[in-house]
Amino acid sequence: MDWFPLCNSLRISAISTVAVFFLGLWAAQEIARLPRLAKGALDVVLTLPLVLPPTVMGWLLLLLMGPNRPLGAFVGEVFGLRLVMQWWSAVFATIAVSFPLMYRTARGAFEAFDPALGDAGRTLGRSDLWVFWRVKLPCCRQGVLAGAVLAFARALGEYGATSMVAGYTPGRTATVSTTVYQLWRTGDDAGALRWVLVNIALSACFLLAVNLLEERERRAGRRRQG
Amino acid sequence: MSLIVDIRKGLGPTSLHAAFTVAAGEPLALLGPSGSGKSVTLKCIAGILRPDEGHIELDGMTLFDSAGHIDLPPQRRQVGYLFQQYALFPHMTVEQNIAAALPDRARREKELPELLRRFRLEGVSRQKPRTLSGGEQQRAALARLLASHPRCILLDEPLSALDAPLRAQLELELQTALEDFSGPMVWVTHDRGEAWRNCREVCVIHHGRTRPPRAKEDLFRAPRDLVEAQMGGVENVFEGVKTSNSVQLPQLGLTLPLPSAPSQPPPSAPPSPSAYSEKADEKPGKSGDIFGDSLSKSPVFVAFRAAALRPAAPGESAFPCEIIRIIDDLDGISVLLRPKSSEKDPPPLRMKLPHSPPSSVLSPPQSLVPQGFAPSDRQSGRLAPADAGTPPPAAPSSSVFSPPRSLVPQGFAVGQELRVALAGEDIFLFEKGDISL
Repeated sequence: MDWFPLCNSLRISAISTVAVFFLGLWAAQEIARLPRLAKGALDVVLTLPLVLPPTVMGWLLLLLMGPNRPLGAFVGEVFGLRLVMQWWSAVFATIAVSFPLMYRTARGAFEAFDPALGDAGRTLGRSDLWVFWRVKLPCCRQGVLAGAVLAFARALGEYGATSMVAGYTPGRTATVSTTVYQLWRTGDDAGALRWVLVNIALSACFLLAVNLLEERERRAGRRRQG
Repeated sequence: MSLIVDIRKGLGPTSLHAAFTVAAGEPLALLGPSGSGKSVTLKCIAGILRPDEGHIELDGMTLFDSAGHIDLPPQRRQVGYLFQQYALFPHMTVEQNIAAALPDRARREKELPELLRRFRLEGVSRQKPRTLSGGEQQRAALARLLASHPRCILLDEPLSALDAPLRAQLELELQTALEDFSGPMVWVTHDRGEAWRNCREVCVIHHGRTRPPRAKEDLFRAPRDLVEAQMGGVENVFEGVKTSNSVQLPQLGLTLPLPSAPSQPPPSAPPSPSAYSEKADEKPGKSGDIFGDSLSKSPVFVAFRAAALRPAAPGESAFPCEIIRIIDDLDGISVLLRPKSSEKDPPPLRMKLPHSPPSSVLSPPQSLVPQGFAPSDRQSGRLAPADAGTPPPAAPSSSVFSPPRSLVPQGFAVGQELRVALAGEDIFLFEKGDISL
């Protein structure tokens, strides 16, 4: 059995999760400070990818990155690179689709954070950055980790946008999900079943991890309330 | 060394205007009901919130100035803030919490052990805050605060979340810990007892407006306005009309005499014996007002302490009331009264009496106790009449002989009539302005 689709899926998900982790934290932190109207509007825009069909996200990405489109043409001209149909093109797709999960979970965790803790750190003379990394994040770590694991699991299961921007090239851009589709399409049910089982096992592990994290978060919250 | 504050900030429907000066070594109590803007004021001083305009200065250093576009971040203000729930970092140990205020390594190595020793935290230095007792949490927060070498300390209702026994203990610890601090200190509270015990100066804040700070004795003995009277615990407040030497209370149908100098009564002025109006239908201004015309009348608030009301002696001028409720409280008996002269349902008058017989566990005996009765007599089980032939009128003679069943003085029962006297010098009058009750 050729394990390339699994390795490819894992590396795509890993890279996109790292990106989404920082982007989501940043967005959750900054958007909380905006005035109400801007906050509401941005919140809708940033959450849309969660509910839109992945094909819509894929189509929008192609509109931006296709070889004849503004960004795609620019990168092609300057770096001689094609943004689509590479294995790493799928990273853009998974970032777009899994970002809302990280953003919303982190924002929920930040909203439960007692602002007095941050104020205490600042009146003690510590920088805003110190307060964020050493106080806020550790206090919200369960929620933030749950968001990251959810984002990773979502990226692993991503099919629609990925197949549109990265396509299916065996040994180059194939992921677990596109492989299952390809094997089913060519009538290889046994092969499809193997990948389906791999996929189910992986996703179950991640969801279990999310549940454990959220359980611990709830327990920590109850302890804090006293 | 002093802290000068003069700030304004919009606060939803109301606005904050806080202006006061705190001298070093003279803690100022910021006393006000919840929602009056106390915490917002502290947060503005610490730089957590930003005032709309104004000026904040500490030891000659400007922390905030809207005209000069100065707004130092909290990190550079060196203002220590003790949060209501202490705001200890829950994921750090006590040691790490204190070390958070000591980023410099050399200083940390020198000062951390000292602070742990001084605040008796050595035994719990590796524990997380939630495993600590209330006292240890407060000491850890104080140690962390003092580790940051603040030039000014702000205490945000430090004791209000605590149960009574723990509260007394932590109040003592807080006093002890802050004894050595020489800079300006602001103590926010809604508890006048806490303000009285811990501060010399009190600044009353209400609906976002501060009154100029005053010595606590002045505030509680001679409030200057309605808000100060209410925060100082003056129980009876009514709307009234002031004439040249008396004040009418239309809700109660009463006219009370005033001492000759009307605003702040000197102790010498006795109430004129004939001045009490005993009839509801008596024309206002009739009693002793020589001019008696409306030109000399002005609307005022009339306030007096429940303890200033007392049962009248025989022959003394008084107004008859009906007892509508008797509340047996820890520190005495509250009697709610309705003057006979009042119409409809007036707000009740409150009178405070000591317990009778005096309960040995509670307040010491006062005026209502017949002479010669001391707690030791009661404890020995002997009940003897006082030597003096006539006991004071407030403690009817029958109570001397019957065994006490309740702490309510005999002769006091709901529905009974009681003649009540009030000395003119116990009455506070305040300009009405545009405030209403």
